Amino acid sequence: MSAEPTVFVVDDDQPVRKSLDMLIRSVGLPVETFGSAQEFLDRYTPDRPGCLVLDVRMPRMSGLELQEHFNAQGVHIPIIFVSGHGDVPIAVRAIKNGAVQFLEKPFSKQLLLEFIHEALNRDQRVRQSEAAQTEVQARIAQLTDRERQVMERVVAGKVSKEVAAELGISKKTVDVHRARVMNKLQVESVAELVELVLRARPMQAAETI
Amino acid sequence: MKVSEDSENLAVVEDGLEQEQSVRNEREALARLRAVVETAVDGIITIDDRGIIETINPAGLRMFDYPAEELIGRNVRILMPEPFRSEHSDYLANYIRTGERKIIGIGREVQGLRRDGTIFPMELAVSATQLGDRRIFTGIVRDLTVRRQAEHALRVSEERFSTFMRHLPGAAWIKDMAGRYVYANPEAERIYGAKFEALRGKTDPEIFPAETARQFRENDERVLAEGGSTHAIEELRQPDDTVHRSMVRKFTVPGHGNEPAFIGGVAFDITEWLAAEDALRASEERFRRLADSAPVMIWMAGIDKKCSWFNRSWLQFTGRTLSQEAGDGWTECVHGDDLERCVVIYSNAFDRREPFEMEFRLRRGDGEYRWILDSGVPLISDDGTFTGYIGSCIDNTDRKRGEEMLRGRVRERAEELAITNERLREEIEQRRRAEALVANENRILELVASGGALEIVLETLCRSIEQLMPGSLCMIRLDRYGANGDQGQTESEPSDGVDLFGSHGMIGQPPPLSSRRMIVELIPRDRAGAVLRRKGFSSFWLEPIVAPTGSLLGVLAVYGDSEGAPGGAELASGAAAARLAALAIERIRSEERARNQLAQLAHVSRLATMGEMASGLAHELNQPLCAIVNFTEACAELVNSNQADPGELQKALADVAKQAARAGDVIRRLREFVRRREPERQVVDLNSIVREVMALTNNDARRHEIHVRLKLGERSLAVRADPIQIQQVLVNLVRNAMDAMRETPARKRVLTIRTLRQKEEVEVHVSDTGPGVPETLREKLFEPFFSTKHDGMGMGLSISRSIMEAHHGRIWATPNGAHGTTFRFTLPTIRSKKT
Repeated sequence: MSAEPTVFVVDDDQPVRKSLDMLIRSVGLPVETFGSAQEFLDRYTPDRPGCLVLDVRMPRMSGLELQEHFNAQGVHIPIIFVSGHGDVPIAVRAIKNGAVQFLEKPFSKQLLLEFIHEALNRDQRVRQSEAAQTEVQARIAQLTDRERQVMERVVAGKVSKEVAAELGISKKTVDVHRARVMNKLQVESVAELVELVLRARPMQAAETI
Repeated sequence: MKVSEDSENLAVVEDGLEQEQSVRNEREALARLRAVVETAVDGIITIDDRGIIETINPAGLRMFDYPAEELIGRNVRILMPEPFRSEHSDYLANYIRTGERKIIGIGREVQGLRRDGTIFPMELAVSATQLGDRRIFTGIVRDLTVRRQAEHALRVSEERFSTFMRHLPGAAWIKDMAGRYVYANPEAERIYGAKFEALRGKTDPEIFPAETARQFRENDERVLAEGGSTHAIEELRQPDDTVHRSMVRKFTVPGHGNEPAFIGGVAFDITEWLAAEDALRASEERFRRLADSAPVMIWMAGIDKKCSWFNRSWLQFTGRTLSQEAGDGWTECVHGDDLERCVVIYSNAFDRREPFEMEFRLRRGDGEYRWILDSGVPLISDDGTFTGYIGSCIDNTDRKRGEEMLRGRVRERAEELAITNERLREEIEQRRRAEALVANENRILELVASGGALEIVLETLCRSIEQLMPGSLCMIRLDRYGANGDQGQTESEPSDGVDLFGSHGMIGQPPPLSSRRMIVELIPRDRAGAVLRRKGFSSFWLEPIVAPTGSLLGVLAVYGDSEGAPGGAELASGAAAARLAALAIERIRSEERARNQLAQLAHVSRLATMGEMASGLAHELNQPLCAIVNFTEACAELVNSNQADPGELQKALADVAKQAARAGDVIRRLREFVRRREPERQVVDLNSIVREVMALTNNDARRHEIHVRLKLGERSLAVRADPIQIQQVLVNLVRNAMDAMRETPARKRVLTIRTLRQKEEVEVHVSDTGPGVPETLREKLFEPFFSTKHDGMGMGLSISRSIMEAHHGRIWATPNGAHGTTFRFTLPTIRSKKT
């Protein structure tokens, strides 16, 4: 899982594919190329870090279709679109869908590499936060239902007495559960607990609270 | 029997000897007996009962040709040939056993065998004698050879006589002195009407009527009286009452002595000869009478060439007598100038026994010489003998004069006929040419209709004129401005700038452009005319080639070697050819104009198409450019970072070159496609046109996310076509197909292009998977300004159809299964008659 980040290239034009492969390799980045969206789908697994250089127009499945497919699947690989046709509507749609950048062929090396680095950074960040979340979630998963009920109310800023009243249990029992939560989640303070839980489910947390 | 008796006697004598009575007598008797035996003519042999020979007399030895020592003591069988030899022993044994006599005491004819192996007939008699206890047999043999030979000779002689008599063509008979028939041959039997058996022993009065018998008897007696032989004609009445006359020879036949004992007669029936002779005499008489009364003159000549007879007409004509004319007398009246010739003709024909005919002048009785036509034929009898000549003559004078006159008239008439015939011949020739021209005309019209090039059509025309007028040279000169309207001819043209057609190319000066028929009888003796003169042409004539509108298109020039003016037929053919040429020129030029218009329209349409395709084509350029940039940047990076591997750099540079070429190709294709150019037909491979079109439209397909399937037929599908126009049609169809699939989900967008050969056509299918076209609109698609697209001009398919029609091809639309449309077009293959 800690594989080297790779630049994936999908373009149906073989010479373009080959030239991109050489260019990207020349700056020392690992690169893998694919002749069609389907070929990429068949061989790519989302746990691999990296970014995607994707041609917009391809027969069978276009670049945009592939992007939408990934979005639907919750696959967050950063995408740099390249196109021979500089049509604006497509660029807008691609960016809206979360593309890193949109490049018109032929493009300069600097711009491409800049975008690739940006994309790889973004991927790395996303992957790191995702990794943290996963860890917190794993810890939370160790809690009993009662402990999770207690934890959510503590994170929501409620004091033990209030929690006891809400759950219909004694304050003392609440305190025992709170101590166990702190212990299981390896936090020292309530402030620390709050930060951890929010980080684990940023949006969800915001919506829920 | 006699011999046998002798044997008996011999035995008695020997008995006597044994009893030894009167020895002297006995000896005497013995000596006598020996003498008898020794001198006997017959052979005498004694044998014992085993057949061993004990004695044989000299006659016997001679007969069998043995010396005595070779026979005595041997078995008698050696004197007998088979089968007598084997039978002999049996006879003896049998006789001894049974006493049955087979030969003993019986004379028998058997065969003897001589020492040299020859066999002869002999008579054999055997007697048996008991001598004490011994029994001996005595055989007496007589050689029958001579007797047999005499008998045979007699038989042969009789047979000969009888054969002779049988074949004698006359009757022969023999009577005895009493007049009784003792012989008659078959012919006599026939004449007498009775078989010899019925005649034998009878006399003439008993056979024939009294008068006849008396006549016969008289002749018989005359022979007897005169001795020797005599002959006479005797008549004999036949049962059918006809009297036959015979030439008879009678003679005496001697008996045993010299006295005549018989009368012989031989008679030949000469009745028919006599009749024929009479008939001939009568016929000759009749002929002469006829010939004398004939109006023509008749003569006859014997085998000696001498004339023997002239008929009355001849004698009356010459006024001479038969004796004067006979022999060579007739020649005295022949005209002196004709005589020698006549004699030669007559004599030569005579020697060869051939018929002849001659004309000569013969002096008539009044002294006038008249022309005589004399024809003579040899007289050959039925048996092939030449007997002379007979000839007939007519007075030919009047006819000869008539003939002279007639000959004159015939000559006049013949001349008239010759003139008429010549006219007729010319007419036929003219018609033949007209027909030939019509045949050529059809060929030329076909050529024009099938889109043949103008120069080929005009050359064919020239050649057909040259065929019609052997030895001529035909040339067509076109007024290059004539076709385009009224600019007229203003500039003076150099001779090599003139449009000339014909199989001979440029010869001397081009014919002048003239709007009137022109006949130049003599080619000028200047430098320009020299080439033509050298080629053997001395004259030419021109026929203007005029368009229906009246404008001059050119001239048709015919060069010939005749000194005179061309004939009516030639001029007519020339005029017809010029009309044909005008037709062909007009037709081909109008087709050219149509083609050029179509080409212009097609060009405009291509420009429009290209405009619509611009963005796709930009991408088509961007792809290789992008690759080039990437490769070069990569190389630069590697070099800068000192990681450059020369091999890798080399490969990358090769790729760069390839991509640059690819970009160049795109540009070339674009330029080709939009170039404004003359339409040109060439042999092209339809599959390669399809591939070009796919390269042009590749980006559109990508942009529209369309899957393209190529199903190309045979390796090469050769057609004669303008490749750019066919590309244009295909580009239209491909782009239409792509447009049709706009609303189709991307995964279902399939464009299929198929090429296939169908007999004499090549077919191209362009299929889409769009919504399809309703049947009612399918034909409308090809109408100008009709479009199903909101932004369509409605010209693409209309122009495509014009292009296909100009290529003798077709274009139409059919549904593509349940979804979509298939556009199809066909082109004739290069081998098809259409091209």
